[in-house]
Amino acid sequence: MSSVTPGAADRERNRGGMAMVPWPVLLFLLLLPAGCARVPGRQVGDQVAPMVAEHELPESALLDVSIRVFDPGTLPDDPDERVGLSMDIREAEARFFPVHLKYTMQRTGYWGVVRVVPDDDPGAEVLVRGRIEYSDGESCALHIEAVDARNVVWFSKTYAETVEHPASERTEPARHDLFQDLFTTIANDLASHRGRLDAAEVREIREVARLRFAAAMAPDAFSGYLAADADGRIRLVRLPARDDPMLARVSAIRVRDGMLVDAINGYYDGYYRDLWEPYTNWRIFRGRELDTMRRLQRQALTRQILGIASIVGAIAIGVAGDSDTRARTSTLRDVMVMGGAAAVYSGYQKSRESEINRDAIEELGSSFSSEAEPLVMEVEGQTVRLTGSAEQQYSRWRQLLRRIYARETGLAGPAPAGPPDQPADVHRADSP
Amino acid sequence: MGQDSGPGAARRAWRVWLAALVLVFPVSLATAAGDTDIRDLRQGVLALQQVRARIGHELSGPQGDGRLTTVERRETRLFLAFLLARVREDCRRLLAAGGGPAVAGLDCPAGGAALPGQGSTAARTSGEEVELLDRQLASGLAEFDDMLLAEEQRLAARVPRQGESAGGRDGGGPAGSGSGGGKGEGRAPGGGQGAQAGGDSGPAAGAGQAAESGARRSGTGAGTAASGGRPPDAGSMAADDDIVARQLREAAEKETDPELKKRLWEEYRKYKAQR
Repeated sequence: MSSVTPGAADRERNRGGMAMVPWPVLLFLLLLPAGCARVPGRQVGDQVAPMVAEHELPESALLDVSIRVFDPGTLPDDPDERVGLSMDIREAEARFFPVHLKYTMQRTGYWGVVRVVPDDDPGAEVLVRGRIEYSDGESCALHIEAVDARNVVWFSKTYAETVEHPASERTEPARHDLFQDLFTTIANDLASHRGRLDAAEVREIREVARLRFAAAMAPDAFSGYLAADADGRIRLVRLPARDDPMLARVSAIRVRDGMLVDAINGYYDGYYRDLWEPYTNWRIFRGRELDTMRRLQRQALTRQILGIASIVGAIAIGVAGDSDTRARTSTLRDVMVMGGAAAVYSGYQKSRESEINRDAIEELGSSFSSEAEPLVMEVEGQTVRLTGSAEQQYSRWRQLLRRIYARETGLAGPAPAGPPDQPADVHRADSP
Repeated sequence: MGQDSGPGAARRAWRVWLAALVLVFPVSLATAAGDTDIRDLRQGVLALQQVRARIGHELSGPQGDGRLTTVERRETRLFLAFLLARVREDCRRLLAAGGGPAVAGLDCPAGGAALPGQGSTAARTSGEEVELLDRQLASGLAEFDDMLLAEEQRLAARVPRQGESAGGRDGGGPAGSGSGGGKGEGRAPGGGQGAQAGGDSGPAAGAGQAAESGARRSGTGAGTAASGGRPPDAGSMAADDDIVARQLREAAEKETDPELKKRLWEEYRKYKAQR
């Protein structure tokens, strides 16, 4: 694995050697990387070792993580980079990557429950959001943002990795993806940030998450326990009593919410398993075709440059030399022109050959898209079905909780059910 | 009318006493039988709750996540949901047989405490109204549990398109997801969400409590291994066990508390008979 674009040092070396390198060769070197993808973001290291907790963390030190289904991003503008890619594939990857990140994180021992969620989760202790900046099967760039329940952003950065020979990489479902270094680096960064939290902060995150969920279900009863700063950071104002009956009711609902997300994750897991083989194969075969196409394109370019150089050289000899030289080099110039023309033609033929690979890449993309699309539709359908029916229930529960709270305290009257309450219910600290 | 006295009065008194005896004795017998049923049902509920809490605790423990495959995890959660349904059913029967006192002290799951006719619109105190609303909430939670149970069964029955080759125990297959792998809502020891995968005790008990108490109780019978209650034909019965029956049988075989073991074998027999 390595970077696809030459680094500054490489370019410096190329410039330093300019005087000694013949210009056709120099031109060739400059044109060489033209067929490769340009991947945004910092390239992750090679063979990244996963951070694993040295000893089992106590339950009180564990934070739950919700990984939201990734934003699929957009396809590259360059038609050459876009070849064989589609939004269907991106949509498939937007659900595949978070599940693999979940598995990677689950093995570290730093976390409680790690789940993939279809949307922002008001009760999440740590929420991971991702966006696919670039992905073509051999290169991948993900923008990842991690934020905890207090609205404290742990980090927000882009990770990139390029696999030069996907076919030679070891892969194993849930354990070793082609871009495993990328996932391991993300998991390591999350673990590092978790490691920087002291016990009080962990406690605070958990309490805030619990009360954010409670405030989303019963804002009358719980929104007063939290306050948001001007910068959006959520702080605990006070804690409810341990035996608060409203909290017990909301906790019972939160348990169901967790079980619902588990059920949804059952479908995501199934989706991941179903997609693993076709997706891995697509990346491997596409990588092979890309390798062949690039090799042919390089050969075509080399031949065309050498052919043109030969023809230009023959003309130059004829123009620069006197009549005697022209007469003596007549045969040589003829050979150079004919050889040059043959080389240019040969390069053209090679270029045509590479078109076949391009078509194959397109075909692979279409084939994989048609395989992935129904899987995406199925998992999305199940998710919408489950969240839809759950939301109806939640809405009823919100009404019930509101009425119970009103009866118990006499502080608020029953009101028509509103939309799900998001963290906006949290009081702003600067509000009266 | 003058006051009776002498042998006539004594005879009348004797007849009254005899009549009372005839009238009261069957009632006493019935009450005694009812008490036995209630006691039996209560013990059954307690036993099933212990098993549920213990399995949930194992599932949610730090070792549970990596030790179980996705399929095993799903099956275990299905079993937990089955246990919840059984506890709920017994709670309903208890409530019908003995009213509120019969379920006192039991962590009856949501939905088990509703009695017909209790939702009357007669004038109620604020406390009664809260109780009624609590019941409605509990009933909603029970419906939701049923929906989740059906979802678990649907997931368990789902056939992977690429086969299970992508997963597998040794192949490091997807570790599966689930709250069973993590912490409990109540953050109580042994109170993992997995313990409540079949639902917790609803608002009255609070999340995590059943699991916690069950986990504490579960250690008391350790070391008293017994094979009591095992059906003589358990071996042949096991041939066509489905997921729940297998889990019940395995739980009964592993159980060391003789009373609990007996209850589990009874549950196994009942379940097989229903099937």
